[in-house]
Amino acid sequence: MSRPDAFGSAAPSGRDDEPLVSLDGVEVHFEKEQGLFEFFEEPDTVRAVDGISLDIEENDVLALVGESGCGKSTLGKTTIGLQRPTGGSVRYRGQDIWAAKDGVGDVEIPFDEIRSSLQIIHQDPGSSLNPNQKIVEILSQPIKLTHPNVGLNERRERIYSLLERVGMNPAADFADRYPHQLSGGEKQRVALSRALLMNPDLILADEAISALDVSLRVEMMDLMLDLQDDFDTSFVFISHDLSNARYFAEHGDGRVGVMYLGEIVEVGPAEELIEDPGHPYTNVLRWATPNLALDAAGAGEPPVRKIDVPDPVNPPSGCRFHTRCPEARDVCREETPELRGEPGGHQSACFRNEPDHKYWDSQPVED
Amino acid sequence: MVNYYVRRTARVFVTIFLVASLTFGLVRLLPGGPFTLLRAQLLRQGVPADEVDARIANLQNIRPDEPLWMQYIDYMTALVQGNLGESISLGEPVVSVLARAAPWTVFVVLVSTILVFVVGIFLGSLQAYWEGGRFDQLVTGVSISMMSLPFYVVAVLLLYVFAYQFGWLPTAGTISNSVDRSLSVPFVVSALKHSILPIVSYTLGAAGGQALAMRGNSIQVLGNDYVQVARLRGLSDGRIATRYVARNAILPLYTGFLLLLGFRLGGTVILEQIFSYTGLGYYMITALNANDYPLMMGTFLVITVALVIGVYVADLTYSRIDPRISAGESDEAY
Repeated sequence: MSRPDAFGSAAPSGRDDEPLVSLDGVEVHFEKEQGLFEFFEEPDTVRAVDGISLDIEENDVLALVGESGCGKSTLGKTTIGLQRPTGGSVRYRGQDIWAAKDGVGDVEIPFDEIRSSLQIIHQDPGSSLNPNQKIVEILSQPIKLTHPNVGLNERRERIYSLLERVGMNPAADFADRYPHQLSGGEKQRVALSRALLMNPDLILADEAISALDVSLRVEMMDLMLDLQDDFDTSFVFISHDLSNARYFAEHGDGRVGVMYLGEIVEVGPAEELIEDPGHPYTNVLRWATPNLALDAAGAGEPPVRKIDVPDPVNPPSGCRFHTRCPEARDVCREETPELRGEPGGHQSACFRNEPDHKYWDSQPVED
Repeated sequence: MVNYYVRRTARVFVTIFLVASLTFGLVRLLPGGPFTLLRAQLLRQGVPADEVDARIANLQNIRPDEPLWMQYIDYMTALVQGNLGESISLGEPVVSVLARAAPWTVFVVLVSTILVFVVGIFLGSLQAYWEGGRFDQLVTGVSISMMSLPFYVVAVLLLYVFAYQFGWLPTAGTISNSVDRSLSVPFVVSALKHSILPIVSYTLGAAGGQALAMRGNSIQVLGNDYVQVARLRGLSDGRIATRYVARNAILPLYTGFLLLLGFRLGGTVILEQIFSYTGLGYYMITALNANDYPLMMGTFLVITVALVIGVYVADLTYSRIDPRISAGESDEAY
């Protein structure tokens, strides 16, 4: 199969030694709406993302997992510059995205270029396509923007070949339909095609397969990974299902990142992370995902002390997982573990990975 | 597809037939009957009974001594031929009265309803873009106050201020008496001058309601993922506002527009009375006061038929405007 992008994409500017997108100590804090009578009180702050540093390389795959409300969507949106971080910085090939947007300092890469390089596929296929445009119109726009000199016929040809590539045959028939005449899986393929036609460097797939039939999920993931090779893109894949994240990271040769209450607690290659979890929370996710087909999984009690997720307005002190962690000891309440391990490899944030930490002399937490 | 249009068109005729029958029935049910008064008057004047019957039959194309079903058939046959009988109070055919009055009413209702939508859509989209801002709060406040103020109160206020106090605009009529009733510049100017106050008072309140509806729709559309993706693609704000947001937000208002057009025709009964504007509504009141049943039935028929046709056009064209609704997929109709 030849590369559908027959026009070739513009050579990426910026320094080559820099990671594609680099997050450094990113914080996203939301202030809750003030009630009428709490005017003089300190506003509540939801710490959706709290101090995350992360690098995404070219042709990289990062699958983020975690329970709802842990901030994985917020982190994803911050990564592609949709959400302005309240602390830390997000850089695209070395250029701070928000400095480029505000025109502050020396802007090496214009914001427009950054904007079109970072794209998104949403969860709900129904709301991600304009109901008043035919598929061919929806897909024409990105081509018009990226290749303004391409004629009508060539544009159509290219759209047809891409539609065929994503498995929508006959392409000419699908191209003249409106979004409501497509199934959920087909809509999601159109959304993927639309994102790819922008020639992006990074696509955020925000729960992009969660709304699809279980039978279609693997197919959609395979398609995304196939097209990754053709289009030279990286993916940030957000999922609440560890088995999907594992499949995607494993086949895309990437990493899985586990998030808990606004922090990344463990990140690493899929197989290593699942076979040998370095954080007790990863173990919980593993237990909660029966189709990972692990010997220990599925049976017995959950490996947590409490089921309730703490309030992100007042996250627990020390290690945020200590309120639920079956291994928690007194020191976990006071000290915050940092991500340890080889950078870019398997890293986790738990004192249990340090053989000579004072954790081992500490007393287990009593509820 | 064709099947749907045929069925839908057939339904229009059935509805109009039912409306006409209902008018016939209602008039028969009115206490005293339509011509009892007239009959009594004529007989008291010493007119022979035969002649009285003939004259009444002429007025309504009905022979009162015939059985009801015969009267009904006569009435419907005349109706199909475009004969609505003769107005008792004005002494001329109802059809010619209607032909004279309808253009004024249609003009006022059409212009004001279009204005309602243009102003409403414009304000509503701006409000949605600046949601929660000062402009939004101000317009929402004004819209709600205007909506809660009935249009006839606004009409009386405007009439008092601009016509009676300042004398800027005429107080009554459709054109001034000195102007020749033919298409010319002074005629148009005079017609516009006379219609400003009715149109404005009929527009203000309703525009507020449309602005609020448009605001809600736009905010909903703005929350859709495809709008965000369009921004990510670097599309211009103007293009997003028109192609993506406005278009999808206006669609639900479109059916409302045609329905409103029909309903607002009925509302002119009060409006035209205030401004002594000789349109359909004005003659309907005249007919009511004068017990002029043929004229009453005529105006009533015209207003209901206009509503039926409004809904019909809305149904037929909606699928052209919104691709999601393709005719034939659903059987719903009003």
